Amino acid sequence: MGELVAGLLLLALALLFGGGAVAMERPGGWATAPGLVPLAASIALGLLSLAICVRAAVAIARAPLLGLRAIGTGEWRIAAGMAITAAFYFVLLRLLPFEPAATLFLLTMTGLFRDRVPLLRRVAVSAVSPVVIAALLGGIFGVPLPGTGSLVESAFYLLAHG
Amino acid sequence: MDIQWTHMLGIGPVLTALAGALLGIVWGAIPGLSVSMAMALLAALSFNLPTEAAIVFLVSAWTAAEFGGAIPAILLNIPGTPSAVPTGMAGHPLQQRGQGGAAVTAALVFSAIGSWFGLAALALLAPLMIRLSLSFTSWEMFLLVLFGLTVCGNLVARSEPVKGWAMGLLGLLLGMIGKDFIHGVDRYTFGIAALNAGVHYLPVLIGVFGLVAAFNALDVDRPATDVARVSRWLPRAGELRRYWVAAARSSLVGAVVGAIPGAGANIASYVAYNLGERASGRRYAEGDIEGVVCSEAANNANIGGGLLPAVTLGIPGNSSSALVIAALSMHGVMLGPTISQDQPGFLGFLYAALIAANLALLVTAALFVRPGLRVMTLPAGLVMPMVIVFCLVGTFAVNYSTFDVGIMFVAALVGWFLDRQGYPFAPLVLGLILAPLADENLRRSLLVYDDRYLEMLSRPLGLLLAFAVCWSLWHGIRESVMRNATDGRVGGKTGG
Repeated sequence: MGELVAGLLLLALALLFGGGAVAMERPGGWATAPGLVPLAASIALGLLSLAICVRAAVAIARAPLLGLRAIGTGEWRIAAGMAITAAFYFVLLRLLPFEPAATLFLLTMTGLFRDRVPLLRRVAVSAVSPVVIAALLGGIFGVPLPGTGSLVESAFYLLAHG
Repeated sequence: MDIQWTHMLGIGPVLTALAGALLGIVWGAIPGLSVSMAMALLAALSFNLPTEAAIVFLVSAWTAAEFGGAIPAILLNIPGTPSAVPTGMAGHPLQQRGQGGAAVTAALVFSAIGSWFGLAALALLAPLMIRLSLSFTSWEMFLLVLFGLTVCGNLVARSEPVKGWAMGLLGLLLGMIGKDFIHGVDRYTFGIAALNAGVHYLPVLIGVFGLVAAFNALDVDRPATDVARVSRWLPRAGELRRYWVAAARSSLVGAVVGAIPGAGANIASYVAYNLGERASGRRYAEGDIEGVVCSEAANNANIGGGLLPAVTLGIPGNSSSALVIAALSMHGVMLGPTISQDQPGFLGFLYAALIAANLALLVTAALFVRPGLRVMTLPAGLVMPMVIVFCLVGTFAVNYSTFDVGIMFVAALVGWFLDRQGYPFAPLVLGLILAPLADENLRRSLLVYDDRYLEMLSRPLGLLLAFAVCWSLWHGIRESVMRNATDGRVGGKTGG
C-alpha cells in the first residue's frame, strides 16, 4: 500500500509542477520558456510514477492482504519524535532561551528511543550538552542560535565587554 | 575573493584540519551517523567560517569520516558508515581472532593511501577535464546532466532504477522553484516571498540525510555493546607491504567509481571488495586484512574521484561532493569549467587542503582512536537527539530563516515516507544541484541553435552523450524488467 501511496504522491507532484509549467508566461516562445524544463521533467516524472502506481496496484491485486498492515509502535514513536521536534523549534524556542529549551527537548527525546538510557545519564547529557553545543556553535563557528537568545552567548558577551 | 594554496601555510589551517579530522573520525565511528549527514550539517555550519577554513574543515572531516566508519565495523561488527560494511565483513572475524587492532591500523594506513591516490587522480586529471569541458556546448552540458541523473538512478537504486530516476526528476523540479534567470518570471513561488530565491538545497539535504536517519533510529533497538578489547594494534613487520597491489587496484576502482555521478563510497567499496576476492581467490568474510584494504582504499580514493567532475564540470560525483559544491556556492565559489579563470588559485588550494586532510587523518587517528573507543558504544538514544538539535541549528544558520526550518521538516517528512518505500536520496541531491545547469543549458542551446536543431543534434560529442543517456535508460529498464520477471517466477513458485 505504501508503494501505491508513494506513486500517487509523485504523480500528484508531477501534475502540480506540470500544470504550473504550462500556465507560466512564455515571453520568448517555448524555446526559452521558463516552464520548458519543468514541463519536460514533470511529464517524465508523471510517466514514471504511473508505472510505479500500476506495478503497486498489480501487486496489491495479486496479494491483497500484503497491502494491509497495522501501524506498528515504531511508526507511532517516529510520529511522536517528529511532533516533539516541531514543538521544540516552533514553540519552546519562542518561549525560552536556547539552553533550557534544548535541555527540555533532549530530556524528552532521549526517553523516546528504544534503547533505554538510564535516567541519571539522560539528565546529565540533557543538561550539559546544550551548553557545549551553544559554546561550540556560537563561539567557534559564529552560528547564531535560534530562539529568544542564548545564555552562553550572553555570558560570552558579558565576559568580553565587562 | 582570491584563494591561494599559500593560505594553507600557518597554524590556523593546520588546527582547522586537525579539528575537522577529529570530528570526522568521531562522526564516522558512531554507528548511524553517515558521511553525507556530516557533510550536510558541516556545509551549513561552515557558512560563517572564512572560505578557506570552510574548505579545509569540510575535506578533513570527509576524509576522516570515511575511515572512522571502519573502526566500529572491525571492532564491533557495526559499520559506522554504509561504505564500511565490506570492511566489517572482512575485519570483524580478525577482531574475533585477536587481530582487530592490526586490522584497524591497516584500515588507517590504506585509507590514507587511497586518499593520496584519489588526490593524485584529481590533480592529474582536473586540468585535462577542464580543457575538455570548455569545448562542451550548452547542449552537451545538458546531455551530461541527463547522463548523470540516469546513471545515478541506475546505480543507487540498482533493482528499481525507476525510483532513482523519479527522485532525480523530483530534485530537478524542486530546483526550478524561484525566479527564472532569463526572463525573471516567478516559478512555483505561489506568492511566497521566501521562495523567490528558490529552495535552498541545504535544508532539504539536512532534512533527508539528518532528520530522516535520526527519526529512523527511534525504532532501532541496538544491543548494548562493551568497549572492544583490542590486544595488538600494530601489524607484524612488513605485513602490510604485501597488500600494495590490492590497494592500487582498489584505489583505482574508488577513484573511477567516484567520478561517476551519484556513485558514492559504498558502491566503490563493494566493487573493490568483490574484485579483490576474485583476484585473490579467497573469501574475505573469513577474516582477511586484504578485504579491509580493498574496502578502505576504495572508499577514501572515492573522495578525489568524486571531486573531479564536481570541480571541473560542476556535476557532483557523489552526495558528499554535492555538499561541497553547496557549501562553496554559499561562499561565492562556483565550481565548473570556468573555475580556473574565476578562481585561479582554487585548485592549488584544494590540493593543499586535501594533503593537510590526509596528514591530519593520520595524526588524529594515531592520537585519538585508542582512547576514543568508548564513543562507538554511545546509545542512539543519546546521540540522535543531539543530531536533531544540530540539524535545527544548522538549517537555521543557512539564512537565519524559520522558513528554511519548515522546509527541512517537510523534506524530512516526505523523505522518511519515501525512504520506507526504498526511494534513494542521492539522485534527489544530484537533481537539486544540477537543476540550474540543466535549465540554463537546454534553453541556451535552443536559443543559440534557433532553427538549426539538426546541427545541434548531429555534433559528435552530443551524439555520443545522447547514446550514453539512452544506453543508461535501456540498461536500467532491462534490469528492472528482469528483476520483475524473476520476482514473478519466485512468487509463482511459492504461491503454487
